[in-house]
Amino acid sequence: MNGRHPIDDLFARTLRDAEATPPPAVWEGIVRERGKGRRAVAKRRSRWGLAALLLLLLGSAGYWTLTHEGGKEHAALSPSQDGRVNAAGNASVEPPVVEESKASETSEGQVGQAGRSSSSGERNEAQATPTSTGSEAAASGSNTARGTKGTAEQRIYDDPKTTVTTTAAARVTPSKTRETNKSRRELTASGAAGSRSGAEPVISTSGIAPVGIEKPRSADANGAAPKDERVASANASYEQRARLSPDVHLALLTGLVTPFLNNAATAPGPILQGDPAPEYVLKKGNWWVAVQGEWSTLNGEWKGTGPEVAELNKSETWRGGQGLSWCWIAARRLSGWSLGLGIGANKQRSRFLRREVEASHTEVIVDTTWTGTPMGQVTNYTWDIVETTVVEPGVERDYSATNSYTRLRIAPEVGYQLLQKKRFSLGARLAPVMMIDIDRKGNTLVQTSSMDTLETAAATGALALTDASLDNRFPMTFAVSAGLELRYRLCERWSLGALPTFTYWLPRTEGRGPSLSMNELGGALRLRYDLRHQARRLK
Amino acid sequence: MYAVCLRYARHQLEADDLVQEGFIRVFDKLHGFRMEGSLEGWIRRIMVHTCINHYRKKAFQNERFGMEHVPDSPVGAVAIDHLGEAELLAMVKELPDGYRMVFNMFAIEGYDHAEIAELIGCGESTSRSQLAKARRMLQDRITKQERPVHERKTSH
Repeated sequence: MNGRHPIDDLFARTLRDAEATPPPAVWEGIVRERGKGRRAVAKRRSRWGLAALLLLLLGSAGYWTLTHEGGKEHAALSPSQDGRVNAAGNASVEPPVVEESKASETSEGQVGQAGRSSSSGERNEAQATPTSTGSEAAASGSNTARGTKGTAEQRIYDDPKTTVTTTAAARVTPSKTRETNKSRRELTASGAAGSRSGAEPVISTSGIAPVGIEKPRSADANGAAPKDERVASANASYEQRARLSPDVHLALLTGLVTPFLNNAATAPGPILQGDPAPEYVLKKGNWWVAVQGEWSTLNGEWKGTGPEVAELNKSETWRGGQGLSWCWIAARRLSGWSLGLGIGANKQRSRFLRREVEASHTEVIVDTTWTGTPMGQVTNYTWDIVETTVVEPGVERDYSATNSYTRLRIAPEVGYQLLQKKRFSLGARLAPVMMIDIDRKGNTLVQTSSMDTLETAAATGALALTDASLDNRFPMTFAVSAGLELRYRLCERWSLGALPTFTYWLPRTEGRGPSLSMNELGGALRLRYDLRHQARRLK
Repeated sequence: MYAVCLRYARHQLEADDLVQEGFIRVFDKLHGFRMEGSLEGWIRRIMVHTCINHYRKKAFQNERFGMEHVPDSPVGAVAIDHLGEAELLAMVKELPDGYRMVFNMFAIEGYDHAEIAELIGCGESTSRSQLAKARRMLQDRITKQERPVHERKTSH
């Protein structure tokens, strides 16, 4: 049983092989539409080409921004001393070397000798050997002055002049001045020379290169062809009848062109040919994929209670961020809501400029030489006090780097299409963003309590961002991104959207260490391709 | 082909559009015809699918125009031999879109309900229901047309 009815057979028998001659206007219309079709194909191809070109440009720009810094290398710590950089862009911190010096003075025909050398705060032994012929002198035990660091053995002097002046000069000629003051005292004793002890000034030569030096660098350094009017007039009755439908009537009454009505852009068939017939087949939803490029201005601040936080905020200037989301996939529902997921990389850049100034300071080194002259039964000891003033030059280190923080961003996005006018549509979007640190370049500051400096500001020191000890500073972070999407449909499936976006980083539990708080204001360009359409009946 | 479109269209203007759109598709896809079957059958199939697509765009509005007044009585066989092609075509055109589509596809083109459901995008039960309602409407109209003829015959 095939379920056929006599009425079926009647109509089939009569109408199956019926023939009719179309009016001549039909053939003219076919010829006309064929011509339009060719032009439409050419136009569609040009749109495809434009979309491909945009995709290529967007991808290239994203790749470029993620891999290139416009000639600025990331780099690494780049200290320079006294702002001087050599031709190769290297600036080195010269360790202060105290040259070996000799100062000798003879008095009353007696020769004293002071030999001393010091390097990096450590002195060699300096000896002054009294030329004594008597046992008294030897018995005094004070005839040998040793200049060993941290110790002073029985120095005898009257006017030590051990004033160490700290100058705040930022730039001091890296030269060492040396002055020698000489005074002479004479003691006539029988070997029991009066002795005093004095602390020897400690030379602080903190020209030690900071940790983390990687690479030195410069210091500043459709054919919407409407069909015949007769078709429009014929379809006008359709619309009138359609308004009788409660569903459609309600939609039309809203005044808003809802996303699922008159959505000529997503209708199956030659949707861009300007079909005046109203649509009563709604789209069940369609999937789309997109590639997206983002640019933003950054307003970042380090937060925390550590001493390096304030220094970081002073040293680091946030510049901007670029991102490339290479995979966006979403489904749009009839109601206008859409749910999608985007995965991409975002690179944020900042300028790290830090100047560490270590002031110059002067120290006076005192040495004594003894000379014993036998004068009959006694030995006349004379001594020479040799004061050497050493001015250690100030050290100024400039750290200059372009920091970059690359994060993997995973953003489930909820969107709602607010309205649609012809090829334009406007939507709102909200996306929680999960950010995972994947790459860092540049410098940052850490607290360096063990640094051997005299400056309080130097309680923090520069460190390369690549250092593994900084991983805790860049944990997985969450943000909320909200914005609009103004989309223009290039052709049936391709569309280009501009997305002004504001992103707020959710604050994380602040500890002592610095944590980055940031908000981003920027925009994105999204090239979208609709995968398929699925129709369903309006109920 | 124009007659095919006339059956699916509500009126002649719509049929004009359908035959125009159908032939444009024929010309566009002519290179894909492999010369293995009947050219007429191939063109006819394109025409039918064009009509189906056109129908899908307009989508079932006939359902909302209230056919509840159609009597749910069994359709009996009637002597309708005197009805000509024009009258039958006019009856088909007066059917709501959904009914007309299903009736054309089932009764004249020979599709079964599964194929109709797939092509139109509805359920098989919907197809059966619409076919039954189409038959009832046609039966009703045939009866109405027969009555004056019968009355004329009896008046002599």
